[in-house]
Amino acid sequence: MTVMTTGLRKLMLTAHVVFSVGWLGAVASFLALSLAGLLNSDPQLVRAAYLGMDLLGWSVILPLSLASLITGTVQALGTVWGLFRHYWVLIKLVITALATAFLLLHLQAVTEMARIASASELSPGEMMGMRTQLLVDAGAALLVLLVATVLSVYKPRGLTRYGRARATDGASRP
Amino acid sequence: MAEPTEPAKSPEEKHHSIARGPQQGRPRWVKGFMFAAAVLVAIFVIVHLGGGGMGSHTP
Repeated sequence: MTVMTTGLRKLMLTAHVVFSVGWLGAVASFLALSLAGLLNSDPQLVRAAYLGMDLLGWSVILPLSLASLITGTVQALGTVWGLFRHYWVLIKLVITALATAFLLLHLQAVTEMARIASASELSPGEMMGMRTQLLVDAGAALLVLLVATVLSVYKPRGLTRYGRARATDGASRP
Repeated sequence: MAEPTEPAKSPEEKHHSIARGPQQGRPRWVKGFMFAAAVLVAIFVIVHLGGGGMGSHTP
C-alpha cells in the first residue's frame, strides 16, 4: 500500500477528525432531544423533539458516521499504521462499523416515533418503552464514540498477530 | 485519527519504533477491553430478550 504524501495525509486526518468529532457532537444533541422527549409533558415540545431527532439522525448523524468510517479506513490504509496491524486501529474500525450498523437499525425506530408524535399528542406515559430505549441507545452511542476518541488520542501500544508478522518482514528485509 | 505523534521522524521510522513495543501476545488493555465489551453485549442481549426482543424498538 502506497503511503500518502504529507499534505494528503493531513487533509485526510483533518477530514476524519471533523467527521468523527462532529458525529460525537450530533449524538450528544440527539441525546438531549431524546431526554426532552422522554421527560417533558408539553405535547408540542415532545413532538418537536422526536421530529428533530428524526431529522438529525438521517441528515446529520448518518452521513457523519459513514464519512468517519470511510475517512478512517482510507487514513489507515494510506499510512504505515495500516488497518489491521495495531489493536487501537482495529478496535476503532470495529467500533465505528458496529455503531454505524446499529444507527441504521435504530433510525427506523426514530422515524416511527416521529411519525407517531406528529400524528397525535403523546401523553406523558405513552410509548415509554420506546422513548426510554431511544435515550439509552443515544447514551450508549455517545459512550462508544468517546471510547473511540480516547483510542485515537492515546493510541495504546499493541500489534496484532498480522502487525507483528509485517513488522518482522520489514525488519528482515535488507 | 491514524496520525503518528512524533513529528520529527518519518512515517516509517515512527512505525518501526512503535512496532518495537511488546511483541508477545495480546496487550492487557485489549483483554480488558474485550472483556468489558463482552459484558456489555451480554447485558444488551439480556435486556432485549427480557423486554420482548428487538420488537420493542417499534410500536
